[in-house]
Amino acid sequence: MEVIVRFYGTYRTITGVKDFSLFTDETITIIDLISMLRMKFLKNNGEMFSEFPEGLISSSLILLNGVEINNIEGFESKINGDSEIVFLPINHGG
Amino acid sequence: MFEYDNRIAVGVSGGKDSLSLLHILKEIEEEFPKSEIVAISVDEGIKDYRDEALSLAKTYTSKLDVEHIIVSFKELFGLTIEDVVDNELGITPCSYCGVLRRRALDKAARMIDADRLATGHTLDDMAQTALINIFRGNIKGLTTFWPGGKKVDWFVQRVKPLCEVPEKESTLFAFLNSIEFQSIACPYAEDSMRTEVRLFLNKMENKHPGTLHTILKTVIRIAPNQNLHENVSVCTICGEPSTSTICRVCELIKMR
Repeated sequence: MEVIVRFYGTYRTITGVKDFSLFTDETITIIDLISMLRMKFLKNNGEMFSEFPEGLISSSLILLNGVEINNIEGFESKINGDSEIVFLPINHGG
Repeated sequence: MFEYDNRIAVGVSGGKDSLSLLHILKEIEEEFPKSEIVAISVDEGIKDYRDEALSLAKTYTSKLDVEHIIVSFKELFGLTIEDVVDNELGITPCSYCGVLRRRALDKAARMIDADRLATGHTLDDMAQTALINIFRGNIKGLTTFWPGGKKVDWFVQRVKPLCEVPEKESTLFAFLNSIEFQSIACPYAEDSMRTEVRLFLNKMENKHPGTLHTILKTVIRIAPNQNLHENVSVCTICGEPSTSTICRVCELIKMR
């Protein structure tokens, strides 16, 4: 299945990437995806994908196919089939 | 917060909260033909960062067919934030920016004869401000928590329609309505106490949902119903309304 990951704001600035696809045969969760992103972007400050409050993740919206993950199963939300995941930072500007 | 025929100045930074607010107020305005909305943006002169935000503000106000006015620190005060970043007194850029931006918005709102000045402060902003006031011992700051605004001579009544809306929701609203907003933080934001308080409150809200709402409700309940008219006079330097002989804007400008 194809998982399209879209970055906004600081995620784009830090990774240098706007969006990309990754392919997987298995069902994964959001937390699995975050681990993959941490490894993929380690040299670009992978710590931004830390799940600890100080990390960007705690101050972000993550949308799975247009639904905010806290309305599904949070970080345990399963990514089944072709999907789009959006990482959107919230702590900025006004 | 509003009357049906208000002329409403909306502070629009180009960020998610102010653009969401503008979007919502524009929708409501269409049902009240005697009301009017004017967007006001403030250019603090932060290179690249503010340029991008203003461009987004211009694009969206044009799309909504809303009049858009831009005022700048340079025109109003003779300086930009870049000029005060490395001041010898250790005053953070945010301290300058907050005070001068409030003055700029107020002046612009008076210039266009607005009845209300609406800003996109969210629940998170309100809770952060409450805590910052406590940490700084600023009792007066705690006593002026009136999101619906109060009429004070010389000032345009300030209202905060999004004051009970969590920042996550204003962000989600903007995103789902395809509002293009600036999504990077101010390059000087790291220097501020607000950033530390924000991280702390994020942690508290994650662990104890409802914390932000409780802080806001508590502060509103303890804000006494004081008469602000008594304390407003005029700055002896700039002639603007002030609660002291020299207003905070002039103090900061003198200090740099």
